[in-house]
Amino acid sequence: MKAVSIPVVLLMTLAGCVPQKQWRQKPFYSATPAERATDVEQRYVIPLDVNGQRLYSLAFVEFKNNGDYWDKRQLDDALHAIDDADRRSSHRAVVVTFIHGWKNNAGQHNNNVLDFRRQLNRIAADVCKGDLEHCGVVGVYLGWSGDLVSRYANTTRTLTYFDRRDTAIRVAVDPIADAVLKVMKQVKSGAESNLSVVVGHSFGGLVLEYAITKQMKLIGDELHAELGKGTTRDEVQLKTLSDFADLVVLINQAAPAANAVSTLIQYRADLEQVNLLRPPRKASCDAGELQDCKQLTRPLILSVSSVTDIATKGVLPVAETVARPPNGPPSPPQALLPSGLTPKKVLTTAAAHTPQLYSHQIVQCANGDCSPCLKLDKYYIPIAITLPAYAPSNSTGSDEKLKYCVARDFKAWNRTPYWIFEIPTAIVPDHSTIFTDRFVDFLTSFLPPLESYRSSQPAPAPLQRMTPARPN
Amino acid sequence: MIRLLVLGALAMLVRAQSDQGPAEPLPPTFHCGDRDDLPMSGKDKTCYWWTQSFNAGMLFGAAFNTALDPVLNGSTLKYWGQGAEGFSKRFGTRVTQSMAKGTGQALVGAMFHEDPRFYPSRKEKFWPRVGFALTHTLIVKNDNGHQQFSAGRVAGAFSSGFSGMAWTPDPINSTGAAMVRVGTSMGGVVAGSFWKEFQPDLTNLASSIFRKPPKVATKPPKKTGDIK
Repeated sequence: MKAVSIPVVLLMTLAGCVPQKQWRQKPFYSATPAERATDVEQRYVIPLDVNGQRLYSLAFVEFKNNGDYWDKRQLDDALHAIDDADRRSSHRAVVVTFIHGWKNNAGQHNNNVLDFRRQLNRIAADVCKGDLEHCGVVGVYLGWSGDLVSRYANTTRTLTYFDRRDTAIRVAVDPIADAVLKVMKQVKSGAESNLSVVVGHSFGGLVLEYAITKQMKLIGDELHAELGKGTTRDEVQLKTLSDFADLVVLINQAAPAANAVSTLIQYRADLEQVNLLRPPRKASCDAGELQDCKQLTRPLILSVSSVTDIATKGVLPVAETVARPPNGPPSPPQALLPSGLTPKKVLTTAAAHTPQLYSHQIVQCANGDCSPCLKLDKYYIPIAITLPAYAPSNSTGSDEKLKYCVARDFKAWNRTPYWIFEIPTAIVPDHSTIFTDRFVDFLTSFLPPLESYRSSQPAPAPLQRMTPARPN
Repeated sequence: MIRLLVLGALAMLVRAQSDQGPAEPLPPTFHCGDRDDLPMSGKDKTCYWWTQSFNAGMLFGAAFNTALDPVLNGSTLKYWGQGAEGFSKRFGTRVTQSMAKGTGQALVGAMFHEDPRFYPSRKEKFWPRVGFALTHTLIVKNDNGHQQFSAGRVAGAFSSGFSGMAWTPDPINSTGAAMVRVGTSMGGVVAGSFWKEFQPDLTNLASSIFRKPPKVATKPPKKTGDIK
C-alpha cells in the first residue's frame, strides 16, 4: 500500500506545480518583420494590431525568484515599445505598468494578463477614437513567479503564502525597482505630456511600494528644499517628480502599513503644503459649478483596498503576527504615530484598512445625486461606475449605474497627495477581482480626461506640477 | 462551420466581459469560481467540482470526524469494526459521501445550467442577511444570472446520503439511516450558505484577536443621505 501511495502523492504534487520559467522568450525588436508575425504571444512585446482588434502594445519584463532579470533584453524592448508609442501618438502615449501579486505570473493564460489586456484595449478604444493606427497605449507587465501551485490544488496553493511573500520582498529590492523607475523615466523622456500610471496589486503592491521608496525620498527632499526657499510662486516644479509616474496605485496591497507610515511621517509636513491638480473634464462651463468643470486635486499615490477584501483585512494581520518577514521594515516609534495607532498595528495592518491613515472618504450618491458631497468638499472627485448584472451586489438584474464622491477629510492626519481609503464592494468585490470595467472607471476618475490624448485634440498639458494647497 | 460558430461564441463571451471597445480575440477567463462577477464555463464548473469535492480541508474533516466516532457514535463501532481497519472503512465512507455529494450536485446542476456557487447578499442588517442565507441554501443563479431552485444541491445531498448503502453493514443500512445522512448533508449546505454570507465578519472577528479594530472618533458617511 505504502509503495503505491508515495508515488501517487508525488505524482499528484508534481502535476500541481506551476513552472518557474520565463514565459515570454522571444525578442521582438531584434527579430525581422517576418519573424515578428510568428509566435506573437511568446515575444517580449505584443505589438499594436488594429486589424486584429488589438489597439495597444504590451511588453513583458520578467524576474526570477532571486530578483534577477530572466533576460534584461525584455526591459530594453519594453523601453523601445514606449518610445515607439510616444512617436506614433505624437507625444500622447498612455503607459500603464502593472506588477501582479500572489497566484499570478506572466503566463499566456494568466487571468491578470488577460484582464489587463482587455482593459488596455478598452482604454485604447477611448484614447484613440478616430485614429487607431496612431494609438499610443502601452502596457508594461512586470512578472515574477507569484504562482507555485496549480489552482486544482488550492489548499496547497494557499500554503505558499509566506514563501511567495518573502519572494516578493526579495524581488522588490533591486532589478524590479530599477525597471519600474526606468519605465517611468522613459515615458516622460518622450514628452512630459505622456501619461504614466503604475499599478501594484496584492504582493505586487508590496513590491511597488518598496520599488518607489528611494524615489519618494528624493522627491520629498527636493520638495523640502524648494519650500525652504520661501519664494511665493503659483507652481512648484520638481525635477525628481518630472520623471515619476503621474499616478501610482496600490490596490488591495498585501503589506503592513509600516512603509506608508514612515513615508508620511518623514514628508507629511511638506506634502500637506502642496496639491497636485487634475485638469477639468469639461473644458468650458458657464456656471463653473459642475465638478467636471473644476480643476480637482488628484493623488500621486493612491492606496485603496476593498472593504470586502478578506485577504488583506482579515488574513494579513494574522499572517504578519504569526511570522513577520525577516527583512521587513520596522515600525516608527509610538510618539510619531497618529493618535489611536500603535507600532503593533502598523506592523500588522494594511494602510488602506487603517482609518487613522485615511485621507479621504468615499460616499455613495443616493439616487445618483452627489450634490450633498459639496458639504464635505467643494472639490470632491466624482466617480461613476457600472455594476454588471451578474455581480452579487447587484440586485436589479441588469447593469446598474452607481455614483460616488471621493471627498477630502480636512481633519485627517494624512492630508497629502498619498491618498489612502477603503473602497466599496461595488468597485472591487474581493481580493483578486481587479482590472474590471468598474475598477478602471474608478481609476480614470483621478486622471485627466482620456479623450484629451486623442490626436484630434491639442497636446495635453504636463501633469507633474504642484500648486500651493488651497482651503476647502 | 462549427469552427466559425465556436469562434463567434468565444468573441461574444469576451465581448460580454467588457462593455466598450473592440474585442480582441483572447481566451475566456478561467476562474474556477473565484470571479463572482462572471458566469462559469464548463471548465470552471469542472475545476470548481474538483476543488470543492476533493481538498485537504475535506480530507482533514473526514479524518477528524472519523476519529471522533468512538466517542460520539460508539454504537456504530461494532458494525464497522475496531482499530485501523474500522477507521479506514469509516474514513473511506465519509470521503466517498463527500465526493458523491459534489459529483451529484455537479451533474444535476449542469443539467439545469446552475451556477453552483453560494453568493452573499451584501445586505447590511443582521436578520435580512440570515434570511438570505437560509433561502439561498436552495436558490442558486443560473448561467444567465437569474435565480432558480437548486436541483443540484438536493441531488448532491441525496447522493451523499444514499451512496453509502452499497457497503454499509446491514443492521444500520436502512432507508431511514440514509435519510438521516441526507439531512446531515443538507445541514452542510446550510452551513456553506451561512459561511458565505458571514465569512467577512467572522474572518474580521478572528483577526481582531491579532489586530484590534482601530477606533474611529466619528463614523464616516456611507451614503449622501448620511451627510449632515
